Amino acid sequence: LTRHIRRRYLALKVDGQDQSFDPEAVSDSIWNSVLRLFGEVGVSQAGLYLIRFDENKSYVVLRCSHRALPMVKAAIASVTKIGERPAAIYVLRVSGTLKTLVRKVSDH
Amino acid sequence: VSVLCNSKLVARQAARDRRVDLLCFPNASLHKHYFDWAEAELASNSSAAFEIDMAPILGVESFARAAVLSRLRRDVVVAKEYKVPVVVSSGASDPWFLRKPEDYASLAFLFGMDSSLALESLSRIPTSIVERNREKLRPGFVTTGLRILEEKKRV
Repeated sequence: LTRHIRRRYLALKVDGQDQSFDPEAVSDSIWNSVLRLFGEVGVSQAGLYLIRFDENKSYVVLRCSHRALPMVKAAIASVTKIGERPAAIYVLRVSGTLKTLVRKVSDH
Repeated sequence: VSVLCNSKLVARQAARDRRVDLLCFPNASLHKHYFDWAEAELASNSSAAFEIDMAPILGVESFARAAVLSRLRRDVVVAKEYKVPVVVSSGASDPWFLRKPEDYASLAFLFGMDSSLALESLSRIPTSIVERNREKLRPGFVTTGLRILEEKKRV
């Protein structure tokens, strides 16, 4: 029997000089950051998936493997550019379910 | 008081001096890096803290970042072994290099600091340095652990 894969959901805030971001560019910057820091094996273990992207408020919900959470958080903190523009991505909340994450962020 | 240790002589003298609060080592090559076990031993006796500047981690990439991380990993091990307090600072010269304390704690994972130790290095240890210096400025302070509480009036 295969064990159930535990996941973590991260609420992120994207901040940059221009407030509008392309979801693909944000996703690429996170993927590239994980790739640069931890290599191809790291990316394969991270199990990254962009769940939601609010273009107006620049909020992102990202899913990753719970084992790779420290790696993913470090990679997100090390993002300094999205595309060619300087930017920063902050982790707002981390949760085990999407429902709890939404509740925590709305409480925040 | 923070001392930029850009030579071995300065580093050793700063680590001996009890007035020094922070030992700051510039981002030099491994051969010109002076935070070793001898420096850590001196620093632990004089209660000086070792400062980790996070800007180089964000500012460089590829082999340069690997070198910075390798040096910091070794420094953290030495600091832990000799119980030298570690202070994590942003070192940012650009607002886009500023991060939340939790994000700095996540970055500290890259050089082997666990989250609780990193958060201590970001909050409790710098606060204790500030409090220690405030204590020195209070009237009646003589030396660490010795303070005049009351003076007897002469008749």
